[in-house]
Amino acid sequence: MDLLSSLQLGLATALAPENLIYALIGVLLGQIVGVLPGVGALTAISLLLPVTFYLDPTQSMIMLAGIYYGSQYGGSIASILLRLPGTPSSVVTCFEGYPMAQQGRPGVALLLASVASLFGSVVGLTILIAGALPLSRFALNFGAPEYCALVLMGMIGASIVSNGSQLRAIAMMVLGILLGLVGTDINSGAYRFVVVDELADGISLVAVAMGLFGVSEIFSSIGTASRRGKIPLSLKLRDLMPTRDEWRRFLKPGSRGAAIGSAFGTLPGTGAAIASFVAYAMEKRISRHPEKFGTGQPEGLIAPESSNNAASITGFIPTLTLGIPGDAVMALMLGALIINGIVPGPTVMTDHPTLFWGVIASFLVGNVLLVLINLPLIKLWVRFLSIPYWALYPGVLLFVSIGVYSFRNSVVDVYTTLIFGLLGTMLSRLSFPPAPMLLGFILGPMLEEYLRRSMLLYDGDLTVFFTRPLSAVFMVGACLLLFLPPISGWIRRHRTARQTRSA
Amino acid sequence: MELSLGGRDMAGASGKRSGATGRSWRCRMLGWLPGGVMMLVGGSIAATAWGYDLGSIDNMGPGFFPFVLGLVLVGLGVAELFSASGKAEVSSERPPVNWRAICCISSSLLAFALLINSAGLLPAIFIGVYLAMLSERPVRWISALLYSSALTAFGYVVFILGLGLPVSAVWW
Repeated sequence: MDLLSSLQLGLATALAPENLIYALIGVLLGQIVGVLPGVGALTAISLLLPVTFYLDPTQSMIMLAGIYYGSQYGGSIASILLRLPGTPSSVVTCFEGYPMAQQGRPGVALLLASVASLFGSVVGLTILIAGALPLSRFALNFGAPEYCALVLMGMIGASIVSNGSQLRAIAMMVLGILLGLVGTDINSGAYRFVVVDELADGISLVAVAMGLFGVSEIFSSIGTASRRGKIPLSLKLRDLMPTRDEWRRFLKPGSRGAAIGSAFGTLPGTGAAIASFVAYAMEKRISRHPEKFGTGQPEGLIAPESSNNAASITGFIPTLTLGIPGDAVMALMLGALIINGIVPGPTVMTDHPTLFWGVIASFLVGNVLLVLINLPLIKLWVRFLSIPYWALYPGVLLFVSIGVYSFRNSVVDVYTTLIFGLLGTMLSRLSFPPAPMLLGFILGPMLEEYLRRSMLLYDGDLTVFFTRPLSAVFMVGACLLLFLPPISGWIRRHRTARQTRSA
Repeated sequence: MELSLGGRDMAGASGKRSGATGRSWRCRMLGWLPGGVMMLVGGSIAATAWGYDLGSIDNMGPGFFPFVLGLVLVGLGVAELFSASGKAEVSSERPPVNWRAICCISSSLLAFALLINSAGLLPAIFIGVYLAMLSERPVRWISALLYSSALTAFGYVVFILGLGLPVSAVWW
């Protein structure tokens, strides 16, 4: 099936009324959830995963994807208006968006963010469409060693890019893998670390995600969030539109951001959050007025927004074609696909063309919907966010508890959420980043499976990871990612020490 | 890129009186904590995994991977103990721990977990939300009661009537 007819099939599927409605619901839900602080795409998808059991695979993927990029925009809304990033990828948005809002121009910031998001999505989508076919054909060369090496590289890549100590990030990742191994071993049926009977099926991912990110965020936000005052907001249309000069400065940061986002999205192990940080850093570095960053520079808002949408779309490339998720949210989507009986991999395009191309076309439709919906809704969003935090967090807790409980009808999962909430708070206090742990949790069993298989096939010969060409590339990449930052940091410190000594 | 999220109080609590090195006794003790905990956790995991069938490298048993990972964690803990960041970082630049919130929210979730099977969804929501709202200071007893009732009703409508959750609303 050639590209054009595939796209036609996709558009026909995406624009079908039922699917359109699910895209709309997904985008709206995603936005609402993304706006709530501490509750992001991860939580939204975890909460709504059980709902998708009642829908067919195409509809559930369309809705989940809509939730995904809808929540990124929702996160930006909260980020711009309240400086409470709703999602990890919206953290960067508040650097420039919040000052802009404080200067009385929140509508401008919101509009620039939504158009930048659409721009990034279109670029990412083009790359997805152009690259998905060749990439999936290429993926057929992947055997167990290649997958193992790729997963390893992705996991290391994800942990080193987070802020702070690389050592701790890797330790968190290892801990996450170990937690993922809790339960029944697939090959032998033996129980591993099963302290209570319900854990025989493993620790619930939803419970871990909600506890680690949602509950721990609530722990830290109570008290501080309610002390914040109200912002003076003007709702006149003229104040909601960017100036002509700002539009003129749109294209270059938008394109740079989209390029960075697409690169990070395609690589497994990196995602929208990292892409947005890198895009912001790049804008700041090449700007003629870097000192103005932090006071409401549009470039610093446009580039990250464009990149995080490009990353979220191209993040589907490794997920759909290789079956390897780019970040924790993608991993949940992967889980959703598998639950629905679709095993992502190189054959997904030929086995389920309607699903594949329908989902891709719905990305475009969904993102356009996002911009169209938000133009009139900007005023509403601004007003919605004046709900005081004391009313917000009990509702969030309610959804978290019920969502986690109903996933497996298990009370143990609610206890798990609590434990991970406490753990998450403690870990962030000790500067241990929680995100690599979640990634390790999701990808760990996969790593073990491929490692086991590789060793079985090659009689325990560990050098196979370096003798097979593709696998060698990934292993070298993993080593570089692991050792390059500390080595270059050491060299830099050595050099400055030598300079200060000679000065 | 200075970012202080949401007006958090950055002048946090500091430890005891500082000594000649300028860092308090408590700070120095806490510096060993991350590495030490990592070693402890890694060690216990490896010990537990030793009890499972390890198998060989070409035919890995259930214990192999956890055992290796436990050892890796111990190694990382050792590296953490020696790394510069472990020592220098425990500063007092930290917002104070909101113990009240932690206790209230924890008890809220515990109550929910305990009540949902024994008493039903609605009591679980009501007690859970009420306990959670006690973490806000000043405590507003009456409005918390009202809001809990509102959310309970909301939960009933959305989850039992709307989504048809297979859980009993009340215990009778």
